[in-house]
Amino acid sequence: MLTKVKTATLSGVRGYPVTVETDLHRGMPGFNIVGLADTTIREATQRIKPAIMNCGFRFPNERVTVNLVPAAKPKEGSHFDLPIALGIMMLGEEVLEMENTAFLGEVSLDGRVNPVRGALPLAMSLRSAGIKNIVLPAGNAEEAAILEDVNILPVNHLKEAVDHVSGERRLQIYKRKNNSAGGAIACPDFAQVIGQESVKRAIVIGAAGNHGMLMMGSPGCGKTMMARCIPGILPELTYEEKLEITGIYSVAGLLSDEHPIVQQRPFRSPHHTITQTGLIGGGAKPRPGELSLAHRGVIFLDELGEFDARVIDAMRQPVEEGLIRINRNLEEVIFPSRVMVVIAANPCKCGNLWDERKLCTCTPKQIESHRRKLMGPFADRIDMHIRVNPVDKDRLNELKSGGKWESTDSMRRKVVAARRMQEERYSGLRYSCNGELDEEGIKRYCSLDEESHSMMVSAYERLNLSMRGYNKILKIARTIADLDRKERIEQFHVAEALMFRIDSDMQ
Amino acid sequence: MKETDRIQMVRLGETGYPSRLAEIKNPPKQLYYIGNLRMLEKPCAAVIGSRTTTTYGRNTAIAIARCLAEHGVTVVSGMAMGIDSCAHNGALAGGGNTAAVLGCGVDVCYPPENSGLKRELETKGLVISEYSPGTRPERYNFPTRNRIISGLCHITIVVQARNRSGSLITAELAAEQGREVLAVPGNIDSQYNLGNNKLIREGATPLISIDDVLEPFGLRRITGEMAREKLSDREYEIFRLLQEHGEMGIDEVCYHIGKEPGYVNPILSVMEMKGFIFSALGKIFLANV
Repeated sequence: MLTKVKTATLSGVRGYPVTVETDLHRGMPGFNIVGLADTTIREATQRIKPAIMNCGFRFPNERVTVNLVPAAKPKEGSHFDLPIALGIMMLGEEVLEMENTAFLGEVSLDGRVNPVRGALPLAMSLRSAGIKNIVLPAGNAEEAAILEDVNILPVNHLKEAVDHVSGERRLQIYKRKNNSAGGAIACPDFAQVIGQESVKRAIVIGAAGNHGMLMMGSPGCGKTMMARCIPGILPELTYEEKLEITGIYSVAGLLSDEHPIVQQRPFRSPHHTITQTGLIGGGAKPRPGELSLAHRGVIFLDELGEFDARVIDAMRQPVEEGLIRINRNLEEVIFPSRVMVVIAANPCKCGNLWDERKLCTCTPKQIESHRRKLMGPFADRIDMHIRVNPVDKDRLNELKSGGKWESTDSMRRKVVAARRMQEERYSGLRYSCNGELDEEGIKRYCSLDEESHSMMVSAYERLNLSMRGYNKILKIARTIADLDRKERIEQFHVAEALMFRIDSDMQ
Repeated sequence: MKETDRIQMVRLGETGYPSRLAEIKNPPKQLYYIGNLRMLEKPCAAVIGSRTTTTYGRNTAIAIARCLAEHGVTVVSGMAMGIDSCAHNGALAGGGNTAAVLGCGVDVCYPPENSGLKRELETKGLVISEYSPGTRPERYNFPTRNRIISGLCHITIVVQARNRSGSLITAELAAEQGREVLAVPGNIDSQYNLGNNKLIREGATPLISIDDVLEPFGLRRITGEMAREKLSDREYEIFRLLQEHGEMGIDEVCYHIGKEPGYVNPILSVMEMKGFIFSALGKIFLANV
């Protein structure tokens, strides 16, 4: 006797379809699971037997073998409980055709079906495998129901699943509660930022081209506040992007009943004590790190100098490539990490170096070591370096009278328009925005006219630009031209881009 | 050449001994030196200040020293970190004479970070001390050394000094020796300018422009309207603004001319490349043209 039940397994943030084969044959009573199952799945033998019996069913008093196909792929997760339990209970019973239905869910000893991690990516993989109906825990229904072209059948108890399979009582198709942008965690509005117009201009440029930004300035001048506003000026997430991000959060177990779906661009601000695994992802069973949780959003490193230099160094490649590869003995796991990097840093250890009103207590040696720590290979790859000054008290009053500061809405409109130019230009190519351009892309899309070129040459000589610095300026100039809705880069685009170069002396 | 061969000595009363120094109450009995001693017979100005400084202080020291050197005035200072080093460097940049008076033997480099500067001074300028070669830089040497700095010079300029800086001692000694003391006025909010501002209150002559340093020597600056010539109208507008306000943040520039950062940024870049301004500490400064 043999049954087959469809389900899926996770590898990183991607799901893969799996078939659970259950066979019953004569011999010593026993229950074995084969097919590279991890501990949680092998423990299922202990969970499923009492669960089935507690529901009032009989557990076969013969030899049960469960095989997970494809056998060579490592499998993990407690969501195999439901398909395995059903596979056993269907043995020798009259059941409906289940070719187009998949099952996932963790089963308690009393037969209740508990929510699982990664329901959305699992469901997505089943969808692309052609499955039409997915039976999953009621707690995961809202999250999975974001998928528009499959039927989500929520289940609370093992009995309900059995009734569904036997055709006695079919499960109801789930309807999403809120299709609106509900559950949005609003980020602060730029209109709340007083003054700092030049920094906001820089942020518009950075967001428009997805350039990394390093903001340097005294403590309390508003760096963190402005960074928190950035997700709000990025273009709204598309449906596919929401799926992708929600999938990552689902795998990380960060979705809640209140926020079953990620609607907003993520903003992640890891503490500076974070480890490499915490930032990049990894572990014995690879889990996404902060970089992946910030995918298609903003990762904000507050006070770069405090982070462990090795951790920061490890970010370099993932940020450049937009993905993280983690190798485990049998497979390679890929996590996405297309992020906008925003960094805040103090100019010196005590932070007062740039503020004449306060006394900087650092010795020249400390200043130098702070500088060296900041300006490592990672910061060197950050496109835009921005200086932030505290807002002058007198200006504050001046501005208060008739002060109106640019709002998130107005900034987003500029960003969206510039992004649209880039989408058109790069459609069908491996780039999606100017920040991603490599040497080849820069050569093709950032060509300069005679005037701008001669400006770059004199900048190269006068301002001590490095070759990498030179390329970064070209990328930024491309974005400034896009913001200006010009296909050609003009001289003053280049000139403005030069404002964001690395301070050569950074005193 | 052995280190000791380069070191020369002159005794009080011998020819070559700096004449202005001989006039003071307690002139050193002998001077050890490396370099050209004759520069001390030219007009001399001491440019001094604290070791911890701001960009404003450093830039002003460089500008003053450079201006003096370009007009043939020897710049004397103490080769300490901060203002002193800037003074020497500014004079060297101006292609003029500069002398460092040390508080240790002339073969000792203190502070050690300045070894490059010292080598340059030995070849292009002058390093001088009353202490015999090999003397360690003891704390108590420096205040007595200061009487030589002021004693060698017609005027003493305090660029930037904190409240209890050693350069205030030098200024006091200069006044006792009957030499003129000038001080650069500093930002009233700044901790770094307390000393020099205090000197002004006590009667030191405030410098209200770089060119003022030439006045005691009866010199006039040779300058044209370079800025007007080389800058476009839009650039000149910002140039004038900076002349008026001194250092400014980009936001302030935008506010004053009523334009957006997108308009101001490119102009500032171009001006920086033309060498009229430079940016540091998140602000825009007028360069020393």
